[in-house]
Amino acid sequence: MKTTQTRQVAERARAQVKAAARARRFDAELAELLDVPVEIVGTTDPCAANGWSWRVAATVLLALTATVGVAWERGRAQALLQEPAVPERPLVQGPRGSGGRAGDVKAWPPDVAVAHLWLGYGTALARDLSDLAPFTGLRVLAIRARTDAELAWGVEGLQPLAGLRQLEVLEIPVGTAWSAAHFQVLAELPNLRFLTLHLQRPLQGDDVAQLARLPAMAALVLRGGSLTGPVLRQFATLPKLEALTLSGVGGCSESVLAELGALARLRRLDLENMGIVAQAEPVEAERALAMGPDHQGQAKSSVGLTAGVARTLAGLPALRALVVTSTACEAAAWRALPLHLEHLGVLASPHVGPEVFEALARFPKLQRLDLDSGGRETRWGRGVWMPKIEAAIQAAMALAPPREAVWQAQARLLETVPLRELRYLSEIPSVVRERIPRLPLVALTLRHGTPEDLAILAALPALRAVTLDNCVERLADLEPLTKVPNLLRLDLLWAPAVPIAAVRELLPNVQVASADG
Amino acid sequence: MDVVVSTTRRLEAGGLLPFAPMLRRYLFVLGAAPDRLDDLVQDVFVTALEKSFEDRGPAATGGLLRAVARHLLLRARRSAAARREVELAHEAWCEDAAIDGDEDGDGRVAALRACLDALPARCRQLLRGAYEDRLGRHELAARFGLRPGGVKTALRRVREALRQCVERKRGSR
Repeated sequence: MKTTQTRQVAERARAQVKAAARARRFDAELAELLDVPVEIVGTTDPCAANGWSWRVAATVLLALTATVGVAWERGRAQALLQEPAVPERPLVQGPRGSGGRAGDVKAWPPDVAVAHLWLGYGTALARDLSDLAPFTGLRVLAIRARTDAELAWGVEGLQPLAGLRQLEVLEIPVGTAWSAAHFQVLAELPNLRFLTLHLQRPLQGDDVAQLARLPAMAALVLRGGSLTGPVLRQFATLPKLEALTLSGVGGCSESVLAELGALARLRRLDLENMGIVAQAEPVEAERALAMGPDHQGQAKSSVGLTAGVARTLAGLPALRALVVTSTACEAAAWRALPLHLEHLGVLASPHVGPEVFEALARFPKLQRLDLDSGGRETRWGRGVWMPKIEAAIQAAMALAPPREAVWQAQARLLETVPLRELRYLSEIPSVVRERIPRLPLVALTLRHGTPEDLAILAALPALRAVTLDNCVERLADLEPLTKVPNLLRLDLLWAPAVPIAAVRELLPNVQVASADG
Repeated sequence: MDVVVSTTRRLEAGGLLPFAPMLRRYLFVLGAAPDRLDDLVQDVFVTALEKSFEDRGPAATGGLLRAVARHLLLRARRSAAARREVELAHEAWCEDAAIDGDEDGDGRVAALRACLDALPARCRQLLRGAYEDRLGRHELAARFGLRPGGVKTALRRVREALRQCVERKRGSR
């Protein structure tokens, strides 16, 4: 039975590939006769923009409903949430620990699963991580240090990390004194899938050679530091790497980023804080408080998304997702990107004009979109009273191009693309908000959403998964979710004022997870 | 410059240049990126000439060039899944060729040309405005007295009409 189903799925996949090939053939023939480049005919294909006839949409919705219904009965609903095209960090539940000193760590529950360490000056943890050794159940560990002066791990001091065999997500600063031997310790983590390195020195070939020994690492985030072309090319040796984030990484000229072309398995690329983006620079108040985007400076010695980089990405057969955040973008780049991209994002980019969002309508397979209102992301939520910083941001935003045209372009984009997943990571402008209920969304993420933004949830009956980040201040904010009949999962981030038990009582049929415990 | 001229003459002598449009279509069907098509076509010609290409008639030449093109493309695909997509697209091309009795697909292009010619003038102008002049939806809407949303619908209908027209002509052969 299973074999038959597998064969049917394979047959369907084959038929889809062939149908796509035949569609390309028509485009090529038409382009030849009209004597225009084939991408013009293909990308402005109105069928591609809204090619789901109501019959297809209804069939898919029916099939999805039926599938989810069966899975729900079997208690496998979680597994049937839309499979991410790229690896996504698990939202781990379980006992949590945090702090910056050895005393804090000793107070953690023995079965702690998620831990955050902010290393302070003079803490013993900055020299030796032995205090972490008992916590073998850790699945997520984030270690931050503000400056290199706070880091004094020798290889011996780092060695206890290798005993955390369950670790799936690790975020760690790489100090100037790190050698390949330090990376050798990281390479002993068999389950590590998501690695974030805060680089305080250039990444080197020997470092990557050690990382290549990690058997499960699917996503690598590099923040700060710098790269050269040969080192970037060496990422092709990382056996499972599917997602790469370059955030504020220096030295990434167009010729260096051309080496991305070697990463044939890459499915997702994130570019953050790359290139010179004057309007997106941290405002003075933020800079003074080290509260810039991800506490990371802009890599001015790098380029962002240029047409040349986009052409490189066009040669990556597996690439499905590209998200740019506070990154320099050439308008021509959006026209040169490969059309098979399914997930695109433009975030924290006040320098980006409406033409970019108009260009996004050209991607016929677009299903997931990450947007915001075009301002820079703030790291604090509603209700947090930081009037000086708010005023500084407002002053900076006043210098940015007018956003109304961008919001109109976003609204038009939402009219034309049958999105299945939307992440809107700021308050939603009303002109955009009006369009959202018309989308066939199965997953929605809101950050800094207002009660008006949350009200649209009630108008999205197809929703299966909702993530609310810094949106919920009181239980009543979640009332619209009671009107979503098929909701399976709710992830709550930064909602400390709302007791999770009360949320579960309000939404008894929904799996509720909270990063706040 | 001499090298270019010499290569062009060799291509002309070998009678390869007329196959360029077919190769562009074929490579695009197989999944080549649009901005790589010109390079790939030249690579195919150069590879064929390096292999002491002999002219054994148009059908054999077309087949040989497609084989070279397919192998060049496969060589550039690293993952097995990507290579499988190329092979499936090639299968689709061959299946259509068997139905049409036309391996190069020139008959399909001729059918499409006839269908284009048979379109009402307003539809042809809409196509040319959208694709040749690259006018935006709003400009097209103003020019043709449509709403912007109507432009997309109209273009979709014209394209669908062309597709159906080509299918009818293929069926009648």
